[in-house]
Amino acid sequence: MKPAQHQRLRTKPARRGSALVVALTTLLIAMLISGLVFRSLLSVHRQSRTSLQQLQAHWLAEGAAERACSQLQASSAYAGETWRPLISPASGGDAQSGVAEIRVERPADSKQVHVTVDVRFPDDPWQRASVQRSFEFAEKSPSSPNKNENQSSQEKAP
Amino acid sequence: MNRRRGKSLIEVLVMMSLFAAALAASTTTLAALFRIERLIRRDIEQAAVLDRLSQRLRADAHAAVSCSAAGRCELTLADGREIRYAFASPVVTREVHGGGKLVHRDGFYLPLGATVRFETEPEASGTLIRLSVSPAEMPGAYSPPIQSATILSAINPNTDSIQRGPAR
Repeated sequence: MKPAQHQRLRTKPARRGSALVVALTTLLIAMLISGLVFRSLLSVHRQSRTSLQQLQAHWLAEGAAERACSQLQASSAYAGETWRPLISPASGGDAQSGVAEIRVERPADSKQVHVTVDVRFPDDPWQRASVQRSFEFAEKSPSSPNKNENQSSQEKAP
Repeated sequence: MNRRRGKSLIEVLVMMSLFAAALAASTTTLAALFRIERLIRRDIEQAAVLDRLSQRLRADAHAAVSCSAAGRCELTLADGREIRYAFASPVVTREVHGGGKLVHRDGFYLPLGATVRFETEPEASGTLIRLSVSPAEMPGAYSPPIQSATILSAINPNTDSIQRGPAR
C-alpha cells in the first residue's frame, strides 16, 4: 500500500449506511408528524359530531318548551311529562330518541308557573348532550308581556 | 487491497422495499387525512345551515296562523302572506308569497345525501311542525352518512305568556 493511500484510509471515517440512517430518521419524523395530525383531525371530527348533538339537544329543548306552553294553555292541571320525540333514523335504520323532562312547579303565592325543561340527546348514558331551559309562564293572563325576568338556559357538553 | 465500490443487490432491494413501505404508509395516511377533513367540513357546514334554517322556520312558525305539510310546508301568516318551504336535493328553499307574487326566496344548502321531510303533529292546543333531516338511501356510497336532525316548533304559540329573561 502506498503511503498516500494509507493516509487517506486512516483519516476518512467509515460512512457505509449513513444515508440509510438519515433517510429512515427523516421518514420516522414525517410519520410521527402525520400521526399527530391524524389524531388531532380525528378529535376535531369527534368534536364536530358532538356540536351537532348539542344543537339537536337545543332544538329539542325549544320544541319541548313550546309543547309545555301549548299543554299549559290547554289545561291548567298540566303537571309536566317525560317527552320522547323520535329523531330521524340514523344510518342503519336505528331511530335515535331524545328525552325531554318537563317539570311544572306552581308556587302557592304566585299566578306564574315555573317550567323547567331538561333535555338529553341522544338518550344514552355515556355519550349525550344535555340542555336545561327554565322559564316562567303566566297562566290565564295573556296580557302580561313582561319578557325580561327569569329564563335560564344551560348547555352541557357530554 | 480489494475495496468494494457501489452497492450490492441486497442493499438496493432492502432500500427499495423500505421506500415502498414508507410510500404506501404516507399515501394511506394522506388519503385518510383528506377524507376526515372533508367529513369535518361537511359536518360543520351542515350544523351552520341547519342552525340558520331552524331560526327561520321557528320564527315563521311562531308568526303563522295555520300550516299544512304535505310534501312541502306551507305557512299562512296573519296578514295573508304565505311562506312555502320545499326540498329539492340538496336545497331547502323558503319562498315568501304575497298578493300572488313571489316576494322573497332563501336557499339552505344541505350536504349531498340528505333528505328532508316536513310533518305536522297535532298538540293539545295547537300544532307542532316537524322538519326531519335524514340520510338518503345511497347504495354503494363510500362516505359515511350525514347525521340526522329534527327541528320542532309550535305554530303560533302564545309566547306572551312566557316571561323571558337574560340567560344565566
